Amino acid sequence: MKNLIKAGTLIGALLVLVMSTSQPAFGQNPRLKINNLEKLSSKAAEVVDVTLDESMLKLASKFLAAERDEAEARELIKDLKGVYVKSFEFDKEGEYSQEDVEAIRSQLTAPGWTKVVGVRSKHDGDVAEVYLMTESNTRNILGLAIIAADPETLTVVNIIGPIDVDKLSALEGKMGIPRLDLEKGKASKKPAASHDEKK
Amino acid sequence: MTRRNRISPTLWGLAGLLLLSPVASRAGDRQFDAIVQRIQSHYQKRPMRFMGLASFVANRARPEGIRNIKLATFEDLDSSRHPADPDFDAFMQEIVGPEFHPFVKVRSRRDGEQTFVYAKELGQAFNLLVVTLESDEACVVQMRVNPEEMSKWVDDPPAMSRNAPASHSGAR
Repeated sequence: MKNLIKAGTLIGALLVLVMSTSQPAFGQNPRLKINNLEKLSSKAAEVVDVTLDESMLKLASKFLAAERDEAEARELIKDLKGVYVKSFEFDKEGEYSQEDVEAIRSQLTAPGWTKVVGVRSKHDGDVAEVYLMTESNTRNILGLAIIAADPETLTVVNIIGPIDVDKLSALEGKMGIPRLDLEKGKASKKPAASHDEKK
Repeated sequence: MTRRNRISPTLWGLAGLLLLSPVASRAGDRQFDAIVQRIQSHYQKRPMRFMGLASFVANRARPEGIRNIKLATFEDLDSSRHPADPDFDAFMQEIVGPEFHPFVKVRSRRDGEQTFVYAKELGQAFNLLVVTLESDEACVVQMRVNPEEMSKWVDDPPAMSRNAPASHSGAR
């Protein structure tokens, strides 16, 4: 009986150890609540939602590998856990407000999120903000968020899993992610809480 | 081990292979029929007739990478039975059942059309369910797509859903 108790204690301790080393720190969830924007649906001329879970991404990565041009995209998506895109297209300007965008930005002030300041859109007047969530202990990347906006469109992209932000452009135009013509400036990062600072 | 015992696992395997394929297909048919039944029940409207024939023709003319196409079209739906906007996703998920996962949703006010695409993994293939709704029409298409075809869907989900069979064969 004593041996059973010892074995149970050992297994319990091992489980705690495994969970503490493989799971993100408590409260770090890179999944955004994109549904906060649902109220814009009634004003939008077109709304697109894309949900790609891990199994679809794994399958897609196998077949992207067949084409040389797709190799970079394949490397990017093979370890991802999910890609979620919500995009609104409006017939005229002013159909969404900064408060609507703030509903997403406010989630990006949570611990772990940092704004990647070296990335911006080449299109004048367009906003393209890229945020990364990193695990507090290991600095592993847990996810990424993009807010892309111009006067008539608003798109939020949420990628879950490890992703190389330097190769993000390989995913533009794929999986519902819009073509943002992202270009890299300085590769420094800053905490997401100061997101209102100009790029 | 007797000769009979050595042969029997092979025979069982072959029998299993022969039996499993139609069973899987029938299961998919039952699932599709249940979805159609739920739409029928909600809108109190039967699907158009000769959909079996239409499915047969669609399967003959199917593009490469797609098979087991099943389709059903509903006309003259009572639009007052459409759920309110915030409840639409939950309504659709209830219609298609928990086994299908949301994949793409395109709602176009310009076209007055909503397209919902759901996916269900089947080993190395996927079952895609495309539901297109207009104010008084609906079209449901279920198809099994191979990985190459599925990778096209993953590559550009909005474009693929706009060109999906349901967008051409029914609710238009």
